[in-house]
Amino acid sequence: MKNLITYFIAIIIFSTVSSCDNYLEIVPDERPTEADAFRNPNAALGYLYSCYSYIPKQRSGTTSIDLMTADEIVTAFEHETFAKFPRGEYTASNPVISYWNNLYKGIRQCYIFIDNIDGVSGIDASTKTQYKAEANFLIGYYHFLLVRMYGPVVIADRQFDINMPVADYPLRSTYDDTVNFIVDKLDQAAQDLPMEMVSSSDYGRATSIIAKSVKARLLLYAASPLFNGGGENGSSLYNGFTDTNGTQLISTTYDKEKWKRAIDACKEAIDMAEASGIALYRNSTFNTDLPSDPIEKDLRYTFIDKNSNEIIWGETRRETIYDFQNKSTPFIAGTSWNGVAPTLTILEAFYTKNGLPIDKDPEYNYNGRFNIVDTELGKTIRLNLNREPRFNAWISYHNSYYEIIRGSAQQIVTRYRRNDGQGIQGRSNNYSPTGYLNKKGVAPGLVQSQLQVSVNYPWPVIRLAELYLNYAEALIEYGQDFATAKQYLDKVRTRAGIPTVDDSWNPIGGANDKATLRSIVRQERTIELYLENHRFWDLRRWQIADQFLDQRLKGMNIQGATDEDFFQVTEVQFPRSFSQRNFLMPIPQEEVNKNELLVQNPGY
Amino acid sequence: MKNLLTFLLLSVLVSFSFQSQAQGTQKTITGTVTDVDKVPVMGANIIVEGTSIGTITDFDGNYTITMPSSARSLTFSYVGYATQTILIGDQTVINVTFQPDTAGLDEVVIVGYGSQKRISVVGAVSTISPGELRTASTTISTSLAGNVAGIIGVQRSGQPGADGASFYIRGVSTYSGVSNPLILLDGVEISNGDLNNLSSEIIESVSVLKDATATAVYGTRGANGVLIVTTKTGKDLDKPRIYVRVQSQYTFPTSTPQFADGVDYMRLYNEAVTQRGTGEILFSQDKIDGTINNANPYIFPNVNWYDSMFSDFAENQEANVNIQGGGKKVGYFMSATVNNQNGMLKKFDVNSYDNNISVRKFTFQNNLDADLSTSTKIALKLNTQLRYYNGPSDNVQAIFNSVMNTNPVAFPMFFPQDEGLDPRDIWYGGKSGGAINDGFENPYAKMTRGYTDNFQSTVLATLTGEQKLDFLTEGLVFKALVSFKNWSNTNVVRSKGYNQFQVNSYQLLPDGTYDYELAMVGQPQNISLGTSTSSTGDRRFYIQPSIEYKRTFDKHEVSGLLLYNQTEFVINSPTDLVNSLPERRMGYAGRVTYDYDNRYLIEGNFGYNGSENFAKGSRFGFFPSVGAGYVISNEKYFAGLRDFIDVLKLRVSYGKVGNDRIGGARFPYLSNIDLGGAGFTTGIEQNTNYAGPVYNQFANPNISWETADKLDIGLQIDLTNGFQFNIDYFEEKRSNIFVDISSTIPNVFGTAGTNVYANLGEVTNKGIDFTLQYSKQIGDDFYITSRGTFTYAHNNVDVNNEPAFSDFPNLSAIGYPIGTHLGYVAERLFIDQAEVDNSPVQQLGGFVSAGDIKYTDITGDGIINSDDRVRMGNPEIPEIVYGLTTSLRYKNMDFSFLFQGVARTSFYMSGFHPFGSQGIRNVLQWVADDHYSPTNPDIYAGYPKLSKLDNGNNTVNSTFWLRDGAFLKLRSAEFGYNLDNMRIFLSGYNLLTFSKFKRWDPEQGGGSGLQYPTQTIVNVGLQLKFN
Repeated sequence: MKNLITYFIAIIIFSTVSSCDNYLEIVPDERPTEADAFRNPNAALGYLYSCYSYIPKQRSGTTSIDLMTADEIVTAFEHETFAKFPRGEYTASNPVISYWNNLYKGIRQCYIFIDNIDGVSGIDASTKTQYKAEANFLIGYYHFLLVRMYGPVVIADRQFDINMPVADYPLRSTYDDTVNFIVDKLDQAAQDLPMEMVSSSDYGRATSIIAKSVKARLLLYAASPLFNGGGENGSSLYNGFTDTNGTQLISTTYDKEKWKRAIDACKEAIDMAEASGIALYRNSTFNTDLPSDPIEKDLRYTFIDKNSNEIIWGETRRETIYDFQNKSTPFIAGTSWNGVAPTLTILEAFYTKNGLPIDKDPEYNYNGRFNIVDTELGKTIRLNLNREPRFNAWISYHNSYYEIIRGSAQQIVTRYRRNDGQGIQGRSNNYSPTGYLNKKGVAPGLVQSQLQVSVNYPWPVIRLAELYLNYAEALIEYGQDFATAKQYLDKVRTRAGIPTVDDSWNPIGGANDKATLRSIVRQERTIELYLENHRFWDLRRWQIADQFLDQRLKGMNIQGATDEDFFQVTEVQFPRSFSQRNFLMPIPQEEVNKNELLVQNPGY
Repeated sequence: MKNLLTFLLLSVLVSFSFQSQAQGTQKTITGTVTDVDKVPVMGANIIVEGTSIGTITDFDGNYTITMPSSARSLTFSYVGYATQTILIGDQTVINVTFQPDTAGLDEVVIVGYGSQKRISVVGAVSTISPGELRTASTTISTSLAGNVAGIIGVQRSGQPGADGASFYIRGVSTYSGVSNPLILLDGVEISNGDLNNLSSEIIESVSVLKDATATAVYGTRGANGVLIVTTKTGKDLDKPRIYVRVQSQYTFPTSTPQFADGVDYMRLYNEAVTQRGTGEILFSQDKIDGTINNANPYIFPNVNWYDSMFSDFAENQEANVNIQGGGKKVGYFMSATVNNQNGMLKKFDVNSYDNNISVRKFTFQNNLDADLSTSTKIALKLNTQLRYYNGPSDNVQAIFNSVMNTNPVAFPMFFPQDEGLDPRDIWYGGKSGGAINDGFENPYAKMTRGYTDNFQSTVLATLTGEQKLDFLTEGLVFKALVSFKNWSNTNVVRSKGYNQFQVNSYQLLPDGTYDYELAMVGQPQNISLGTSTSSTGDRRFYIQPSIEYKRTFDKHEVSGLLLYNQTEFVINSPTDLVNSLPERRMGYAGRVTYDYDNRYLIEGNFGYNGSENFAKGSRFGFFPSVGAGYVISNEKYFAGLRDFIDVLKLRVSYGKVGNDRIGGARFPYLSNIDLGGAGFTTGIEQNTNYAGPVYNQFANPNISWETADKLDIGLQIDLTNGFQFNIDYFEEKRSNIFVDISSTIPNVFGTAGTNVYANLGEVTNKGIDFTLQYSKQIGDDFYITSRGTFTYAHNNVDVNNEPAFSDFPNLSAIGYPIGTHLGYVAERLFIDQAEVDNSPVQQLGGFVSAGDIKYTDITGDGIINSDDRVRMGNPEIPEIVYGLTTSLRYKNMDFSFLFQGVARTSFYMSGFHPFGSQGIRNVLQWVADDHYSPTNPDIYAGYPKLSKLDNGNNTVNSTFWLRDGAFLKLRSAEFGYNLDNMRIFLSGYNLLTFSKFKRWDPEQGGGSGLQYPTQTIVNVGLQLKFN
């Protein structure tokens, strides 16, 4: 008995002790590892897509930094994240929306991809070359988005080692060095990228035309006053903005040749695009009746038509119910938020039907523009009449048509007085703060009665009209070839149904000097690229944002129940603020704290 | 059991040997010895003082003792009870009632993997007797703070089923890993939730192991201290003892938030919008007038959501029956507890179901032990807990938040429905523009939209065996413990969609009444109940064989222990690979003690543990500790002081313990990659989707556990006059604290969001804890015992995972306790715009103007941003916890109370700021009463200028919102009356609170005060015993 017990105990002790080592080995070798991310062609393609996933959603109705944040529109959604930008409420402590972290993550993802893709078997060499070019394009593009926000940034030219000593942490390069780095990346990528994607399912991925177009935009920005010594007549805001060694981070002297560089880049991109069949969208064949005016139809469908031949780069992620379209559509409780309201600033920026600014067109009664007049649909003000087709195509005013599917109707008449269908009524949200609504980017085929986005289309990141305007602007600023500049302006103007620059301007003295042409190209850009994520940056790079963004916006008196009360120009009470620091975004303060030699942008 | 036998044997021997010597004039005294519950105490020792004459009590507690007539007094003693000396005088019958004595000399103390005589313990171990656990509250964890020296604890919520306290042994020493103690029930790890489900009646003892000597045997699990709970076992009795307790409980919230009424709300809203010019649509005079006149409750609602949704009190019930008994070879203990706790949510007749919280718990304990032979014992302990929960379908905290977020005038609770419609389709009030089906949340809808059934069960079985190996060498014992625990949780949520309506238009009719037209908010919803279920659970398997040795050679007492343990913990329904893998640990533990003549005590302990969390090669760690004790009072030279001092003992211990519990992170030595975490869509049709990896964690093969170096110096003084004093000084150095260093890597590296773990942090934790106790029997009828405890634990971060902060030393956490608040220094409110313009620019969000908070520019750069924050206040976990408990007994009556307090704690008020970006948040009455406004331009007002939009400048954490969380509470009081076998009691919990902070119970901590409030509890109950 006793021996038995001893024996038994010995066995227990022995067996438990001997099994120790295996007992703690529980993680299977087959757990997911980085190697799996490059195990086969499919995984590698997924990896490439993950590199794209860091592109900011420009169409987002809640978090896009540049969509509804300039002075073109004012929304009822002042409580949303994006609305802190027009109020100037972004600070180093709270950047509100910061691309800093996310874009550098995307850049690292691209480098890991480039460093590993060669090892994947089953993909032919040319595909690998293309993949790497796409990743290189994204590295360039992400850096472009960074310099647009922050000016000079840290160049991530490789995967940084996470064990790097603090003393070796990378610092900000000068603005010009960063631009050159990006140009190199984009040029390098363009060599290996296809002109266009072979399969329509790959649409949205990088092409050589996209790379060259981004380069054109980058160099246009780089030549612009904010980053080019304040421009030819201005002065730089960045005297004394140096790194810890005293190196000036943004050049404070004007260099005209930067415009030349932009001209060349624009021309290169335009030539490539046109050679591949990209053209301004005209003579829309989209299967719909409305808008009945063919020019307005072209303007409305320029990018809503998925087969538009004008789009150079469409961002192909889908829209959600709180994004751009539903926020713009006329009120229906629960589906249509009725809140993207063009401001008097943009309403007055559109040309007259003669292609002239409203205060320059002798045929246009500028002083009587707020007078009430009768139309077929009811009373409205002169401001809304006799305007260029882009106004009619993109703006809904009191007693005008909004093309949209509501029940069996394909269009509705919008009315904005207090108790009207699109009026504020008793609501404190989902109303138009100006008594106008936006139509651009809203598909006329959108079905209003559903809480879903019934029509989706790729959002235009780059389209040909922008390249033309980039080119024209650079030519004008360089000051040597106004004729070509006008030629490209006219392409955009005639598509929009207005006369050429000379046809419009010659009767009132012509447009042949740099100052006039500069104002024309900037106004053309404001109109044509209205609500396409441009004005937020354009006002900054032109170094004039302080003149536009530091004041409250205007519209009609939306509390007016009668025509007389309604058609009173009224200031929208939402505060707007812009001070000098706001030209550049703040680097998140914790980044400056982590890397103490990293300098913050001025004013933060 | 063992001790009982020893005593019996000894006593019999003693009585036999001395009876024969009796001579001269003799007298005989008889009597009965009982405990406070009138249960006879068998085997109690009675000695005639100054002689060696003695006897013991029989099974019924009776005794007879014969002694020389010169004898003056008798000493009555028994394990676990206070020794009493009673003058004989002329008495011939002396009945004695024993009082429990937690600090008794011969008491056995449960320590890690065993037990020791209290006198020979050299580690820092506190014990609490089960009687003190049964406070008027419903959970055991709430009765620890203030009752046990060394426990820091607070109860944050009064929600039934979630009203336990979070507690820490000697505070916290790590800012990254898990800082809660290890809790063991009969040697097996359980959760804090399991602990709270236990009924105090089943508990034999609770030990709190605090220092390295006590915890080193737990190795990588011991650094945060260990709480050991043992359950009662059978007793050798002729008749089983049956105890019954039934009680009824009434609970009342300790505080009720007060909100501004609808009219005030609208005025304040208009004030906020107007003075800031933010452009939101104002409330019309029409609406305000209609509300003032109470013209129509649907058009002009004025809802007090809090009062409409919550009751003023709730009723609970609890009953326990337990039976203890057995014979010479078999003993048993059985207990059953039923507990029913109800919440304060109102039930409305609109639904067939009840959405109020109700928690019904059934807990069973069944312990059996058997002596198979003189050398073999076996015992089986079973603990079963069943917990039924019924509650609203939505999270209870979310309902409180919803009340904070909904103002009184936005909409009514509901509208009367048109006739002939389905009565289940309640027309809830609503407002379009919100995030849920275009509507704002209606708290009433949120509460009544469905209900949750939750069932949790815990089964814990522990089988132990013991085999004496005296045939090998005397004093050698083999023991084995095998246990299995299963916890399962099934959750069924039934909830329905709800339709909200808003008044579209209204008109005043000629008869003075109103007519209104409603419009549905959002899309029509399905109003039948939908069901979603989830289940989870976990199981633990544990084995622990050991060999023990204990033997006394003359004055030398030696003991040894060598133990192996391994545990496996598995989650029942894991959702990913990492979680699906079992958690495993294994280790060895050993102890050697040497005791010379109860004077010199030396002890060595070790744990050698492995954890699967770390890479091969870094898995095992050795955790040694040594301790020594010196019982000065047992020295011969001390004899002169024995009349005053019973025990004087010094203890010192030093050792190393580990902590491998590193929060949620597992396998930090491996990389963790989510292969499909980041996707993109391409294609003209926008439907080509692929996804690639997201890097969640980079590998660090060298990662290992935290280590704690602990020093403890203790002093115990027991005076003969009833005072007992025990004090410990402790010092702990926690190093290799496990941190995620990714937060200090610049994000330009592209690694934001990818964790990289390392052993980097260091914290020192120092403090003292002491207990001062006084017990005295005064005459036959009056007994008093009083105990004060005090714990002070102050930690200091020595090495932190943070940037160098050479420019901003004010941001560093180094040199401050863990969790010290970081905030801005508020001076007061701005006087006027000129002052704003001439002050540093405050870039904290919002436009700054007169009446906004003015901050100090700490860095002096003219800009106030996150660099201008400083460390302020005390941590949220209090540094000081103290308590004073007193019990008085007079004849049939008893009265006891516990005062308990905390100090050196502070918190921020937050989350209550009016209106907000979505614009319908409620306004607390104190904000309405005391804010800066055009009519009250007080730069020291309690609330700054109102703002409709969230105003970052005024809501950031700052000294403006920092509050001292110290409080003193009359935590509990109890009055009892004994009648034969019955005791009636009335008790209360959280009866009085004294604090500088008045907005709500400071024990709830920071926030808005809108959470399930802690409760004042009143109990009436009855205890019965049969034997």
